[in-house]
Amino acid sequence: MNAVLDLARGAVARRARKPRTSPFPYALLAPIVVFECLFVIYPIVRGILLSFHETNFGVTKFVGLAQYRQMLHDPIFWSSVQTTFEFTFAMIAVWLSLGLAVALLMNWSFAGRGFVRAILAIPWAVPDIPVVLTFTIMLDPNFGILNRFAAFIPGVHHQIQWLSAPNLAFIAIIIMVGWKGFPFFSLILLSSLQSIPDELYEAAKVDGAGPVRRFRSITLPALYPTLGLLGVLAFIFSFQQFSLIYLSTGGGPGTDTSTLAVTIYNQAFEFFNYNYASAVAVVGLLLAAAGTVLYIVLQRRVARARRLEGVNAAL
Amino acid sequence: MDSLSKRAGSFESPISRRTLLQGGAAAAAAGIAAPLLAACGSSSPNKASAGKSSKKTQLTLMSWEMFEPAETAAWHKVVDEFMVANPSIEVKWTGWPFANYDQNVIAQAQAGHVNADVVMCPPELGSTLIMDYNLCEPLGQIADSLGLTPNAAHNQFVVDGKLYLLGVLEVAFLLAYDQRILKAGGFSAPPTTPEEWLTMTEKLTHAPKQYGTLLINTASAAADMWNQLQNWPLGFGGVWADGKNLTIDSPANVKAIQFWVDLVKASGLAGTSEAALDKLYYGDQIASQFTVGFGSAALKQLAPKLYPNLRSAPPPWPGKKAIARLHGNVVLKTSAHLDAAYELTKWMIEPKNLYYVTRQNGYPLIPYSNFADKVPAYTAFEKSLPWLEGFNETNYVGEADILGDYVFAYAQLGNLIATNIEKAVSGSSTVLEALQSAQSLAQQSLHLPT
Repeated sequence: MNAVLDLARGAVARRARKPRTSPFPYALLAPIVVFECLFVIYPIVRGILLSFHETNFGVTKFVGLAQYRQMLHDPIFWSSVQTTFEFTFAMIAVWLSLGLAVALLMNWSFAGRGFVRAILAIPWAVPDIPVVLTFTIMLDPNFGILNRFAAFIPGVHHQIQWLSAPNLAFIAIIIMVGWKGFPFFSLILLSSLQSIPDELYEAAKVDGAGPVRRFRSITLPALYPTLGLLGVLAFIFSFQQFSLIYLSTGGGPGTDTSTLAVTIYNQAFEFFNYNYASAVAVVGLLLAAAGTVLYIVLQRRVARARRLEGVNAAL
Repeated sequence: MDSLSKRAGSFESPISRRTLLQGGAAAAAAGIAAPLLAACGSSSPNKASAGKSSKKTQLTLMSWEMFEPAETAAWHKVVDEFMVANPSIEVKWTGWPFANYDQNVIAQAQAGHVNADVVMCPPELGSTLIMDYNLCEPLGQIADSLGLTPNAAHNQFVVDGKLYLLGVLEVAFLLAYDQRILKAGGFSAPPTTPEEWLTMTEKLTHAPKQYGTLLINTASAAADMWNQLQNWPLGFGGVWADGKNLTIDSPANVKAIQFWVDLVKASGLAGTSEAALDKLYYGDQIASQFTVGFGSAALKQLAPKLYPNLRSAPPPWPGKKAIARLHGNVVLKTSAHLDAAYELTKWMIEPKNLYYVTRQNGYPLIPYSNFADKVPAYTAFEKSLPWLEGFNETNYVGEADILGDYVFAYAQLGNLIATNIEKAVSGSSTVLEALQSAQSLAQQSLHLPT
C-alpha cells in the first residue's frame, strides 16, 4: 500500500515540477488552426460583414440592416425558409427510419450478408452528378422507367411529371436525397446494433419478451445516443443540401423546391446580389445553429427522462 | 528475440519518436508556410519576369472562345497574327466557359477590378459593364475608321449617342427545321402562323421515335428555358416590361404563353430534361426548334445527321419578330494600355479577320450592315449555308426592347418567369395564375439599379 502511495506522490510531484510549457503541441495544432482561421472563420466573418454593406464595382458602402429589411419583405426568402424546414424534417424522418430499418435487416444472419453490406454503401459513394443524371432519366415523364411502370396501373396518368409538378417535385427530391444518404445512417446504426450484448436479448427471451418488446426495451434504448447524434447530422446534412436539388429541379417549379441554399446560390451567382446573398446566408447559419442546439437540448432531455424512467423502474 | 521485441527494437533507431514527430511538425509548418510566403512574396518574381519582357505591352483578352473546341482555333489564329503584326504587344487569353462566364466577370467587377483590357461580352454582360458599372470606353470611332456600319443590334450598347461595344458575332433566334422530317410528314414548307406550327407539331409527333418541336420546359434548365421563352410575347404584341413597369401577366403575354404551353404539350416532350431534348434533336428526331443560329462548325460536329437537313424560317407568328443577341468586345477604362486595346479591338473586326473567323466557325451573321461591300465573298459564303434563309426575313429586336429597364435583371426576371411557367406545363396552375405569380414575385423582389 505504501509503495502505491509513494508512486502516486511521485507522479504528482513530477507533474508539479514539470509544467507543460513545451511549444511542441502547439506546433502540431498550428496547421489546422491556420487552416480553420483562413478558410472557415475568415470567410464567415467576411460574409457577415458583407451582409451589412452594398458593394458595387469595388466601392463598398455601409448600409446597416438594409439587406435584412429587404429580406423581411422578400416572399422568395420566406418561401425558401419554409421549404428548407419542411425538407429538413422530412429528411431526418426518412434517413433515420430507413437507416434503422436497413440496419436491422443487415444485423440478421443470412447467406451473403457481407456482400449485401458492401453494396449497401454504394449510393453514399456515388458522386452527386451521376445520381442526378440517373434520377432525372428515371423520372423523365416521357422516357423514364417509373412512368413505364405507372402506365400499367389503372387510372394513373402515364405522363406523371415528377420533377415539374409542385408536390411531386418535392417528393422526388426527398426520394433522391434519401436514397443517396441512407447508407451512412444504416452503417452507423449497424455498428451500434452490433455493440449490444447478445446476452440481453437471450435474457429477455427467457423472460418471454417477443420481438417487438425486445426492440422497444433493448434495441431502441441502446440506440438512443447514436440516433440523437445521427439526428443532428441529418439536420445539418439536409439543411445544407444544394447540389442534388439545384441540378434536378433548379428550385422549381415556382419556388417549391427552392431551399435556402438554392436561394443563396441564385442570389449570389445567378443574380449577382452578393450582399443580399450574404445576408440570407447569415440568417441560414443562425437558423441551422439554432435548430442544431434545439435538437441537442431536446434529445438530452429525452435521454434524461428515459434514464429516470429506468431508475424508477429499477427502484 | 520475439516479434514484439523486434518491433520494440525498431523504435530504438537513431531517430527517436519525439525527433520524428518534431521533424514532421516542422515539415508540416513549412508546408503551410511555404505557399503563404510564396503568395505574400509573389510580386517579386512576377515583377522580375515582367521586367524581362518589359519591352512588350501585355494585353489581356477575356473571352469564352478558348473553351469552344470547334471555334477556338480561328480566334487564336487572328490574335496570333495580331501579335505578329504588332511585335511590341503580347496578348494573353483569359476567361471561362460560356456557361459560367458572366458570373465570373461580374464577380470580378463587383470585387473592384476586371482583370482584362478587352472583354468579349454576351449582350447581358455588355449592358451590365457599360451601363451598370460604367466601365467601358466608347468604340464607335473604330468602326468608323474601318468604314463599317454597325447593324441595329448595336443600339442596345449606345449611351448618350456613343457606341461602347463592337460586335464580333451575332446569334439570332429563328425557327430551325428538319426538312427531311417535314417532307416525310407531308409538309412542303415550314409553318408561317402559330396555328400551323401547332398543327405541324401535333402531326409530326410520333413518340418515342419522333417529336414535333423542341422547347426547353424544365426549371432545372431555367436559364436556357428563359433564353428561348423570352421571344414569345413578340408574336402577340406583348413585352415583359415596358420601361420600369413589369407587364408579365398582360393579356398579350397570357395569350403568348398559352400558345407556348400548347406547343410543349403537343410536342410530347413536357417535363423532359434539356440533356434528353438535345440528344433527340442532334439525333435528327425532332422536326423543329426555336433557337439561335449558332456556328455551323459546332453544329456539324454536334449533329452530323441533322446538319444536312437543317433549314430555317422566320418565327411563325405575326410581325416575324425575334431577338438578336450580339456578342462583342468592350475596352475597359481601367486598361493601362488603352491604345493597344483599341488596336486589338480594331484588328478583331477588320473585315478580312472577321470574315475569316465567320467562315471558319460558320457564324451565320456578321453584325455590320455594309459588310458585303467590304468583303464581296461574304455574299457567296452566306449562300453556301442552306440553313440561313430564315435570317433574311426575320425582324430582329434587342433584349432591351422586350425587357425595358429590367434588361439589367435579365437572369433574375427570367428565373422567376421560367420557374413559374413550369407549373403551367405540369398542369398544376393555369397560365394566368403562373404569370400572376411571377409578376407578384418580381414586383416584390426585383430592384432596379439606381
